[in-house]
Amino acid sequence: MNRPQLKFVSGKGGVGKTFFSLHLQRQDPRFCLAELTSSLKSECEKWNQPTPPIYRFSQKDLAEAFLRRTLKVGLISHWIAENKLFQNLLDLAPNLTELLLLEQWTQLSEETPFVVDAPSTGHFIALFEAIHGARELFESGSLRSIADELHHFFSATPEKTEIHIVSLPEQSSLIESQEIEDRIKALYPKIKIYHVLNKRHFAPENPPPLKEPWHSLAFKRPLLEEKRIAGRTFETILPDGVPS
Amino acid sequence: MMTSKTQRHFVWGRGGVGKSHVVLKLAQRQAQQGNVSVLTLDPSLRLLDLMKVVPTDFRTFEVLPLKPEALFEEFDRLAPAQPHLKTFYLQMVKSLQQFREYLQLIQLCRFISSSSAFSVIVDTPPFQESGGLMKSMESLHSFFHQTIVQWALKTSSNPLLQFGMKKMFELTRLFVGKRASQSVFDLLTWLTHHSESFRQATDHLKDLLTSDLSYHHLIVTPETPLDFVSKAMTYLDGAKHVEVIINRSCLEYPFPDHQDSFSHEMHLQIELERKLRESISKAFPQVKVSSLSLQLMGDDSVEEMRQFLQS
Repeated sequence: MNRPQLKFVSGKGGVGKTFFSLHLQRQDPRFCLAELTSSLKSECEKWNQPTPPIYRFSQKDLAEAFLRRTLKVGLISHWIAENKLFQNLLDLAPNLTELLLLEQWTQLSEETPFVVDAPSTGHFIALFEAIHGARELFESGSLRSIADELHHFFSATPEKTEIHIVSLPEQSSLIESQEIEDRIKALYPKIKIYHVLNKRHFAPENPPPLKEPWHSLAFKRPLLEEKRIAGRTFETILPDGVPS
Repeated sequence: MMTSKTQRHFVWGRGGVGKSHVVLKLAQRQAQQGNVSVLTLDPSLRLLDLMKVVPTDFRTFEVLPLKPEALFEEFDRLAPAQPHLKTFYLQMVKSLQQFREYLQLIQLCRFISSSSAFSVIVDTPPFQESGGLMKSMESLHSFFHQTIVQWALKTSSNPLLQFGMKKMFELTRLFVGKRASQSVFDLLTWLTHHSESFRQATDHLKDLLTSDLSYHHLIVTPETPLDFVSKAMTYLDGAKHVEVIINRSCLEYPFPDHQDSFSHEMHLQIELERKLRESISKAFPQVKVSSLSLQLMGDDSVEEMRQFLQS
């Protein structure tokens, strides 16, 4: 049985994906961090934490590496990757970026385990759907090979991957989390999915006498949240305002 | 340049700041002055869900999701495509998020430039993705202005360029195989039939954000870092009307002094908002800052929505 080597953190925008990615990495320091936008470093600074190693890949670097492999001539690949026309083509060939990112993460994770601070709902699902899209659209060629390899990685060795979906105790966030789970399950049912509830509020124990809206915030909000999360299971629950 | 006199309102914000609620409130206010259309670019279509709880007497505007599938139908009527192209197009729309974004932008431009509404309100995707949206705007613009489509147009008369194009598409076979590269080529060829309308639409993109008729509403909460505001401001460079709305503002509600963790946190919250306000007016003195008072949003009920829209 393989150990998990690739942990994706996703959820609706603004739920604390970056925060939870750091939390996961700290639980198991063997893991490195990967991200798409530069948000991990400022999150570390916010909580006064030392910054662990962070990997970030630009679309251009990925494309150049990919070209080099397909064309097998470094100089030409570099020239093409620098070419404005080609860059435009890349921008219009979106699942190329998605496939290359997934390929990069899965390959690197064979050497070093990774926590990926992944994009939010739509773009996260798009990563996995790009594999299927490419397998439907392309009957051969190097992109098809990459899609096949990725498909094999996620379906034949699902235990190598974990997906952590972060939610806030808010309706729209919970709905999106469910959507992520459903869509990923439809593609790769064997990948293990964990749910995290962030910023859960609890009624204060010893508050002063409160007027509105503070009173509602203190007492009504925790009850509303309880009602919303009823029937859902969370492997981790993090209270609001307290860095772990 | 667009000739339409329609006001365009763009509502931007990170996920979870109450963007959809503000869009509805804005729409309802604007509707007191004329016809209002709300377009949503947010793939989660949250706005359509929320619309269900807007009381009927407040439904004075229409909400339209932009569906890229419709664009194909529209173009297909003008210049019919071969059946296999439609399959390819629909597959791309389904599986390629960014392709959807491009098409939605084109639809947005076309919609606004032909609209006779008093105001069009655009519900954008959460801001991290909107960064991508801005990038898409630029890519789309340069794509239709400098590159392949222009090349393809020129190649029809220039044999040397025609040869170059052919070689380039031979190269794409290495990546996606013969059949798919043929489909990509066919799709681009078909799109060139519409290049004029695409070009017009992309011409409008920059104008869309910076025109005198364009209003930008950036939604933040007291916890939003100034970083985010600064980043948004660089994206909105050149825009004439930018307003920051602090949602869930709590400055008007004094909080009693008390020694417990809840009080401590609420004081912190108030302090954060004060600081955010200060730093926004210092860094961007030209930007108007307004606020919407803190309200506990609970169950997405009709009654709750009524209270919010009336407040």
